[in-house]
Amino acid sequence: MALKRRLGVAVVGAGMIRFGELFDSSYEDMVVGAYKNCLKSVDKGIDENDIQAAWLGTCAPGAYIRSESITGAGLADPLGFFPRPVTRIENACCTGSDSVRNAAFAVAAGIYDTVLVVGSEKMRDISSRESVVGQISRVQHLWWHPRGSSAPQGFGALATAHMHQYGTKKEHFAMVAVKNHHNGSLNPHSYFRNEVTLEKVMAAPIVSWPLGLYDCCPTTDGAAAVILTREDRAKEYTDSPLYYWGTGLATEPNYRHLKKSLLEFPATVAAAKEAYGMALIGPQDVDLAELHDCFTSTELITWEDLGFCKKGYGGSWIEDGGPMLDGEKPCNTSGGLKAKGHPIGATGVAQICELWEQLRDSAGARQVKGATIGLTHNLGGIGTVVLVNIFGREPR
Amino acid sequence: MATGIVGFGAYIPKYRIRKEDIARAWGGGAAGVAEKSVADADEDTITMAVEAGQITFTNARIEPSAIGALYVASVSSPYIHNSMAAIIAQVLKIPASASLADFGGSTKASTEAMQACIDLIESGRVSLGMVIGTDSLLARPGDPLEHSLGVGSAAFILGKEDVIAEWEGSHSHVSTFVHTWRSDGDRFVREYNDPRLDRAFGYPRSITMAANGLMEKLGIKASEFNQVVLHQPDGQLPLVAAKEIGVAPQTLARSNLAPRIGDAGCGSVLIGLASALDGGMPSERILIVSYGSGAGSDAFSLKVVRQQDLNKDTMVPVSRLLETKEYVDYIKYGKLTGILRAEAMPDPISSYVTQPGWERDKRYTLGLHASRCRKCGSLNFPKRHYCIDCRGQEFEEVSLPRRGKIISFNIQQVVSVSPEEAPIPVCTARMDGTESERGGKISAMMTDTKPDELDIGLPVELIFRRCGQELGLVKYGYKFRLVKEREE
Repeated sequence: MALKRRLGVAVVGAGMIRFGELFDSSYEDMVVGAYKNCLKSVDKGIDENDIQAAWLGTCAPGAYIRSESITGAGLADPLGFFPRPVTRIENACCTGSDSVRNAAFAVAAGIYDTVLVVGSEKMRDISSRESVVGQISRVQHLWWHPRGSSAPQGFGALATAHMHQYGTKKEHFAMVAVKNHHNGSLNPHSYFRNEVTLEKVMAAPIVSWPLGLYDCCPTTDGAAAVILTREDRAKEYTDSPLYYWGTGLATEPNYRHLKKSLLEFPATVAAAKEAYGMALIGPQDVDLAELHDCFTSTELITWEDLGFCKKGYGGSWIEDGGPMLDGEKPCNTSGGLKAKGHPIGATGVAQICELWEQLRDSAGARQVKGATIGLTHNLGGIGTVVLVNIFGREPR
Repeated sequence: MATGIVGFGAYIPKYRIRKEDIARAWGGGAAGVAEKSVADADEDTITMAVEAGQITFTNARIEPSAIGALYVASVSSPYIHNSMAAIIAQVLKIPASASLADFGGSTKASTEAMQACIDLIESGRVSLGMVIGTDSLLARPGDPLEHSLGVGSAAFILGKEDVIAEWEGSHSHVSTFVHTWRSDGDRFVREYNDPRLDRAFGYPRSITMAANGLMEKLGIKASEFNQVVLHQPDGQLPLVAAKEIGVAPQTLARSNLAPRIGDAGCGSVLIGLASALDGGMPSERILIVSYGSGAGSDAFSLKVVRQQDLNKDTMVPVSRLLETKEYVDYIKYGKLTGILRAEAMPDPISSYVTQPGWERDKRYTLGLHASRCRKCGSLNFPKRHYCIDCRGQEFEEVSLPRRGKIISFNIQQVVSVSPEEAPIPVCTARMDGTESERGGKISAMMTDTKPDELDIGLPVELIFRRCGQELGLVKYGYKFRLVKEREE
């Protein structure tokens, strides 16, 4: 459990580019695009020279973008930000949110006042099957051929166990896809803007049973950026900042066969516990959540892990409408990873962009009325690292 | 104490392809072979040898740690240069101090190994030795041999105590007549397809010479053999040879397995022997004669003392292996054996050949388009959003100057990607007409330039050349060359 509970950090700007298969945009183009949208989002404007340091979240190796490696120069160069300090962060799918967490720690420690975080990922300069999520190997098992496993395979195992133990049905997972596509259709930043029917999801080709095509999030490019500053300086930039109430990060072993349980993600439970503890809230206080629906089954299990519904009752909860846009606790109002897209390093930062719009009443057609507390959740590997961030409209 | 067999076991993979299914592709058939065994895609000569070894340790109830020698015989080892026996010994947990040997050269390598192991035990140097004969043979698609060449393995533990069958003696006959062969680098076994020539000079003659020589040496008559095990190139030839030796066809009843599994090479005689011994009665005499094309035959005689103790739960008799089968058609056979093969896709990631990136960047990597900052005049190359010198965001697109002057250079002697030939000079140049601190400079390899010609300040020019190749795609780009002024 973190020793210091009050970070004293606020978000004063948040911007992203629309995710998708952005063949015309290079990695650098996306970093610049997200940065410029983030600058525009600062209500009272910001002098770029105020930004003293930056954190860059990118998961993939340089080879994916015709580069040897990606360092802090991956941000400093295209933005002309040099010689200022930039740290490149990588922590699987927690990369973006971990970049925010680390940037906030620098502000909380009083090292810097105002910092920039950019999450950027170019996944589609190579075919989706060659991507990091298409080629998981040793993380799963000692003897698997380098192309023997994949993310759908890893997460599918938990889906099967959940169905067996709790009677959850493939239809319940499909309902998550329907929900997220509906939300995405209302979000201008979303990659997929189309609705899908339950029938279409159920009839889709199987990728790794029980997960079909529509249970899996797409492989996309994209970038998002936020600017953080000291809580007591936030009002210089905006009258409605977001306040960083809590953060939690937890880990689990790499090999799937060494996990404690295939019915939950223990690292989600642990990370949430730390974040709730720091924020001094419980799951009942969360108004909306941006969750890591890399796969529909993962989102369903996550509602249980975060305490939104009872263990094993995820299927009933969505049948009752709990996580829907008009439900008791809307989940993935942005469209989630499924509709919005999932450029790995950008996702955790983009989730904050959604909270930025929701908690400041500027989410338009997908607005959750009266939302004041939002949660973001990311899950890397097969639940190997999990990061939960909590933001509030008011100081904690 | 007599030396002999103290334990044995065999392994036959479960897939079979029927004669009709091969004939559906190419016609033909092999005499007396109704179906043959096929290995799974992830099995090979070595994995099958391990399987036979493990079954044998279970059948015999002997610990691997007791084995003092392992001889492995095969003509289809995955390696010319790398030991099968060493890999197999490690997996079977045979001690590292055991005496190992790889036998090969012909399908009678298995009996050569048996002979050598018997001698080793009789010498007293080793108490227990294991011999494994294993093969996974492949013929060219459409070759008549495709109907008979099969797969399988068997292992025998030899020793002096509590033997199942005593080794009475052996006799060999050398024959260099070639019927089948496989050269270094070939995947497929070839044959000289002339069955009548083979019957005259090959298999039957070699078998008969060895068998007759043995019977004379030991003073045993043909009629004294209760069972006979011959190498089985098909289901018919063993019967032909049996007649010439003078033994009745019934003596091959248990051992002639080619009709059901084809020709298992170095496994053939040993699997046949295991099957014979599964039904061997005490005081029975068994004749074994192997055959190797281009080598000849080894013949030996065994006297059965007892049956291998039947621990019904865990033992694997040959009959169970024969009954455990699943049929495949020719297409599946093709995929399992690798004769039907697709290249692995997608191609492995290459840091150069990311198509979208290459497509986006052509304007400057090939077209040499550069961006001149409207605010400070800096020449930015490649394209960027913020001017590298002043962070301005407005540019004029211009063509990169082709000439410049060397700012620094060095000579690569150790190159990271072969087969570029060293030495490779590399330089950074200040391009003509540019002044800014950062912009206006280019780095590139040099070409058509001798290292001792180089100096800072010399003029260079960019020329279009090949910059390597990846996955069959040529990387085109530019290199610097010293400008050589023409002599007037």
